Amino acid sequence: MSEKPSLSPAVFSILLALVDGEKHGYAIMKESAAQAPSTKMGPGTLYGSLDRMVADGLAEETGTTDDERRRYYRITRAGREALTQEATRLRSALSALRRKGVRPEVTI
Amino acid sequence: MNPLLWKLYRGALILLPAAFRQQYADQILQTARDAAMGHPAALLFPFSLFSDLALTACRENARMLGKQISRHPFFYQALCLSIVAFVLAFGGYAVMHLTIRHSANQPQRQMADDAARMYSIADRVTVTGAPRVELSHSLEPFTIAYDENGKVINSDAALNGVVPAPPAGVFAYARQYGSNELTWQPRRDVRLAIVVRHFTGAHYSGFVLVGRSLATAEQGEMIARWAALLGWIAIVVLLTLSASFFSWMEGRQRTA
Repeated sequence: MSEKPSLSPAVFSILLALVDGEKHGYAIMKESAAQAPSTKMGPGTLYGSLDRMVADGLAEETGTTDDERRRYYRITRAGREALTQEATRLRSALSALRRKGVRPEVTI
Repeated sequence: MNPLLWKLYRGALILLPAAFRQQYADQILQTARDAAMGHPAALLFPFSLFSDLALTACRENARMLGKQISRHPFFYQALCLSIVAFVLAFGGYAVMHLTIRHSANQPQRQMADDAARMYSIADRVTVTGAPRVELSHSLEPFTIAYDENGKVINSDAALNGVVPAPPAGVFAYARQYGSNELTWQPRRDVRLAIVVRHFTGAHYSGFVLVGRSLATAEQGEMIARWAALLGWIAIVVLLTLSASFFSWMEGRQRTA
């Protein structure tokens, strides 16, 4: 697996929201806000990030609801790899912090 | 959220780049409506919605610009260089304009100093007959002396047979500061570079006005202005041709 640049907080939380199944915009926003309240994003940021993610092959559109008002997205294989890589990077950063005596308030 | 704010939000979506708007405007609106249902009483919700839209507009427009630049790099380089050339050409023109206008006050300064000294020590002024300089077409420097009330004491110039007087403010300024240098337009088509000195003597006190037509200086300015403009246009044409050539070369290399 080649080393890729770290993901932005918005992209990371969108991938995290999509990892357990496809979702539409508001569902992604709601789950992101629940997982990381500090990285709250609005609809503009959400669709800007999704547009880039689709272009980078991290996510893909799967279709719309019957009334075509909501578009669904799902994570791709490349998206999963990027998410795993980011999680590994975060875990190493956390370990490094712990070794240096810094104890962030997180539970894994 | 207030229906008016919804209308405003929908209208503000125009700030997004057209391609992005076309693809996501409906989704953004739907997601914002869904989010509003989830925060019915949140006062800050409209604020967060609008600030998110403003940030997205900046981000997406910058991204779109970046894409366009990467698609046509030579044309953007040419555009940047044209702007630099514009600043240089017209900056150069502005410097030249100031230099020409400043030098148009010579030799009036020296003549005004001499005349003011002469009038301040004079016992009597002899009027030197008919004015020799006709201001409507002569390029010669001229001198007019006025008393403290602005009445002509002596003059070697006239405009269609009448010695003109500048506005009272010109004398007031010269009285307060000792001197005044300005462009005077006694008639629509007559522009003069004048130097006014205040003098005080035992018998006379008042003002000496020494001037000269700005026609020569304005000709020089016009040449400088056209040189700057034509020089800039030539640079823009050259840059556009080079950009087209390099784009064509790049396209050929890509297809090869």
